Amino acid sequence: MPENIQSIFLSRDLGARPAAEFFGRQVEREQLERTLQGIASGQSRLVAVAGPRGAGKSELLRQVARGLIEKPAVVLPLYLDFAALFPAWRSDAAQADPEARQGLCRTVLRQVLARTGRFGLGEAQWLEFDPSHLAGACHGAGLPGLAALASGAGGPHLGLELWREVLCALRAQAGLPVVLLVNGLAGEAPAGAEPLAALLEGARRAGVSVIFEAPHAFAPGLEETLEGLEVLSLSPLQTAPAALLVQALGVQRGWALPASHLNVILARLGPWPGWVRSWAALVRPAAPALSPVRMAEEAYVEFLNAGPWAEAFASRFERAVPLLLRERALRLARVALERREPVGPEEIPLILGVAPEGCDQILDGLTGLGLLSRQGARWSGPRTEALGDWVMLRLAMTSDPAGPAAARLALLSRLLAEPWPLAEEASVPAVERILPEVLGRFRGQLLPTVLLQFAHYFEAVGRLSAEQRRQTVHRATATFTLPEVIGVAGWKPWSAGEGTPPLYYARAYREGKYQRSHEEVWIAVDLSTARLLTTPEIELALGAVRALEDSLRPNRFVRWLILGEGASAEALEMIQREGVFCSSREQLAMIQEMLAPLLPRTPPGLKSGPEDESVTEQETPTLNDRSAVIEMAGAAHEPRAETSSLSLPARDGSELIAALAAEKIAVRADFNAAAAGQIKTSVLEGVLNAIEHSPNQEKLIYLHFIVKPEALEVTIENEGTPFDPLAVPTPDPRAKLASAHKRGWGLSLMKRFMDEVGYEPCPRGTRLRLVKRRRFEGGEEEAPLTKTLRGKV
Amino acid sequence: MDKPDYALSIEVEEAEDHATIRPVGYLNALTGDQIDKVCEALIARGLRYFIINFGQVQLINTIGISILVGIIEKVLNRQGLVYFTELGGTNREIFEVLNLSTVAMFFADDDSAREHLRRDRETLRRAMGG
Repeated sequence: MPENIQSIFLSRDLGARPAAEFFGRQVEREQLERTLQGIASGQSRLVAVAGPRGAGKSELLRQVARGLIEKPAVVLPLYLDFAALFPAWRSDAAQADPEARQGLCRTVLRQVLARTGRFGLGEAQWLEFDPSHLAGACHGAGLPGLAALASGAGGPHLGLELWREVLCALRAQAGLPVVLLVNGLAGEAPAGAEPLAALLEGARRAGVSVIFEAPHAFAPGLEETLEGLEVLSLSPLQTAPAALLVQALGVQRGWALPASHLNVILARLGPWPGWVRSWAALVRPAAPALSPVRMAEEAYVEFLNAGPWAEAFASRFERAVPLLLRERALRLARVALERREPVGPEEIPLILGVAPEGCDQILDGLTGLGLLSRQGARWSGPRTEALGDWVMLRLAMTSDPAGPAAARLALLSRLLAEPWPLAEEASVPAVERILPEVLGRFRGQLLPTVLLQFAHYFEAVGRLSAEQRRQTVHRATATFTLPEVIGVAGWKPWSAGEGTPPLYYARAYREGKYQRSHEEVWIAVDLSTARLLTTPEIELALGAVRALEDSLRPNRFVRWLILGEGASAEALEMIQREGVFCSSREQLAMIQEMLAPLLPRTPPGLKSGPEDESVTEQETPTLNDRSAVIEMAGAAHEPRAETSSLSLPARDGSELIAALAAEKIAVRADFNAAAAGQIKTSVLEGVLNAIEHSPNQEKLIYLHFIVKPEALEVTIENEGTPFDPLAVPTPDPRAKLASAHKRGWGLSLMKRFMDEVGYEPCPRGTRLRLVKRRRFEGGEEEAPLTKTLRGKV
Repeated sequence: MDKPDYALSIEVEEAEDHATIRPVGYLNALTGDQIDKVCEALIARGLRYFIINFGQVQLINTIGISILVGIIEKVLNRQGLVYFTELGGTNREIFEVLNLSTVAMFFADDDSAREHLRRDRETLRRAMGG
C-alpha cells in the first residue's frame, strides 16, 4: 500500500497507538499471529477477544490490524470500529441511520480500494465529501451489496443476509483470505436482538474470518450458536505493563506525573488533594474489594481508551469567558473556592474589574461550567474539588502553556465530564511550625541558591521525581551564604485584617561580624495556605512586610515568601520585580533538612521597649521588637576566625597579586605546598573572572581570606554582571582543539582544586566563595569540634 | 613599578627538525601570545615538532592554557607534535586536571622528549616507506 494511503487509513480508520506505547500482551499477540497464519492458509476462524474493561482488547486488535497493513499482503484485513461508526450500534435506530451506514460503507471501500491499489488521494476526497458517488464506487469496486447497505436496503437491521452478501463479494474481489477485525463491540448485552450474531453468522457463511472484541456479556444463547467460536481471554493489565504505560506516556506527553511508576501515582493517591484521586476514581466508584493498584490500573487504561478529549472543557470555558477576562474570572472562582463565606454580588465587579452589567454573562458562564455555584444572590466556589483543581491549574498554565500544568489540565478536563465526590481536605500545612525554626538555624551555612528561587527551582527540576530533585539540589554549585541569626519573632500588624498572612522576622549578621554594618533582618511570610497565589495575595503580603519594616529601625531587609503549591504568572512576575526570595513548602522542607539542628544553649537576655542602640563588635546582640517572641536562638560560640582583606583594581595583573597573597596566607595557615598551590591557582582564576566581569578597570575587587580552624575561606567580590556558573560546561581539550572558543577552563579548575566553590549575589554584585578544608592526619576532613554545613560542589 | 616579578621571557632553541621553547615566569594572556607568535614564526620556517619546557614557569592561568591549546591545534594541523616537559607541582596538576594529556605528551625532561621524537620520526619514516 502506498505510504500516503496507508497513513490515511491508519490515522482515519485505525487510530492505533504507536507500537512503542503498547506494552505487554506478547502471548496474546503470538496467539493471534498463529490464528492469522491459519487464516492465510485458508482456514476460517472466529475469535472473540475477551477480557475485563480496560484490559486492552481494542488496542490489541488495532495493533494486529496495523501489523497486517504494514506487512506484505497475505490476508486482506478489514477493520471496523462499531463504536465509532454506530455509537449506539445495538439500537435499531443506529443501524438504520443513513449517515452511519454511509460511514460504514466508506470505511469498507477505503480499505478495500487502498489495499488493492485502486485508491488515491483524489478518491479519498470525493468519497468523503460526495455521497452521490458512493453507490457508484461500490458498484465499480464489485461490491453492489455494499451500495445496498449504504442505501438502507435490507431494512433497519444490519442483518445476516446483508453481511453475508457484502462479505462474499469482498472475498471474491480480494483474491485473498479476508479477516474482519471488529472493535467497539464492548458493552452490556442488548435487551433485544443481537446484531452481533448477524455479523458473525454472515461472516461465517461467507467464509470470512472474524476477530472481534467480545462484549462484556454475550446475549443469551449467542455463544452456543456460534460454531467454532474461539475465545482469547485477556487478563487484567498487570502492574508492570501499567507502570510502563505510565512511564512511556508520562515522558512522551510531558505529564505532571513523574515519568516513572504507577507506584508514584499510588503514593500520591493518599496525600494528593485532588486530581489524581479524582482521576483514579474515574473508572468506577471504588469498590471495597478493589485495591488501589487495580483502581489506578483501570483508571489509567480507561483514560487511554478515551481518545482525544482534552480540549473539551477548556473550549467550553473559553467560549464562556472572553479572553481578556479569563484570569480574572478564574481568580473569582478561586476566591469563591477559598473563602468560607460566599461572594456577594457587590464584590463581583471589583474582582472582575468590569462594570456590574458586564458581569452577568461571565457569572452565567462560570456557573454553567460548575466553576461557581450559586447560592441565592451569592456565589460559592466550584462545586467539586476537581473543578477547583482545574481553576488552579488553568491559572498556573498561563505562564507555561506547554508545561506540566497544561498536561494536568488536559487530563482534568477529561475527568470533568462526570461529577465527582468531594475529596478529603488537604492536611494543614506545617509551614507555620517549621518556618521560625528554619530561620533560627541560619548559622552562616552555604545553601543551594535554587532553594530560594521558586520559579528557577521548578523550571530546573519540576519534572523530576522527589528523590531526583533532592539529589539535583544537593549537587548544585551555586550557593548562598546564610547569615547568622540571633533571634526570631512573629509579627502581626495592628490593623491586620482577614487574610493577612503570618510574618516572622529574624535579626542576623553576615560573615560572622556582629557589627551594625553587617546586620540584616530577614522577613519571612507564610503564604503556603493559599493553594495558588495570585497578585492580590502578594500585594497584601508585601504590604504587611513594608509595615513591619517601617516599625523596625532602618536596616538591610531580606524578604522571603513561602508559597503553597504554585503561583500565577502575574504573581511570579511581581515576585521577580520585587526582588524577593521565594520558596515553596517543598523547598523549605529541603532547607530544614539541610540545616543542622542547633546544639542547646542558653539564650541571651531579651530586651523590650525603645529601640536599642547600635551594636558594637564587643556587645552581645539583643532583640528588640514590639510583639511576642516566639523563639529565641542565641549565637553559636565559635572560635574567632582570622581575616585578612585586600582590595585590588579590576585590571590585568591584579590576579597575580591576589594569587601570591593567597599562597602566602595559606602557607602561614599551615597548608602544605600542594594545597597552597591549589589555593593560589583557584584565587588566580577567581580574580581573573572577576576582572573580566567588572564593568571597567576603575572598579575594585574585594578579597577576604578567612582562616578557620578547619578551612581557609576566600571570598572574591566584584561589581559587575552576575556570573552563572551553571551555564559553563566542563571543557574537553579535544573538543576545544576544533573549536574557535578555547576559553572556559577556570571554573573546572577551581572546582577540582577547592572543596567548595559557589557564586552568589551580594550587595556589590557577585561574590565567589572558595573553601579549602584542611586535611589532617588520618584523612579527616575537619577539625574534630566544629561542624558546619558544607555546600556541595 | 619596574619590570614586575613573573614577567615572562622566552628562550628558544632550534634544532634541525624541532624547536625547544622555554618560557620563564607567569604564563598569561599577554605572555601566551608571545609564545604563540614565536611558534607561528617557527612553523612558517617548516618546523613541526615542538618541545615546551615549563621548568621555569612559576604560574599559569587558564588564558595561557587556552593559548597553548591553540598552539597545539596549529601544530597538529600540520601533522606535527607538541611535547611538554618539566611540568611539576601545581602546573602538572593543572594540566592533568584539565586532561591536556589527551592532546599533548608529557615528559620529565627535554632529552626524554627528544628521544621519543626521534623514535616517532623513525616510525613515521618507515610507515611512509621512506
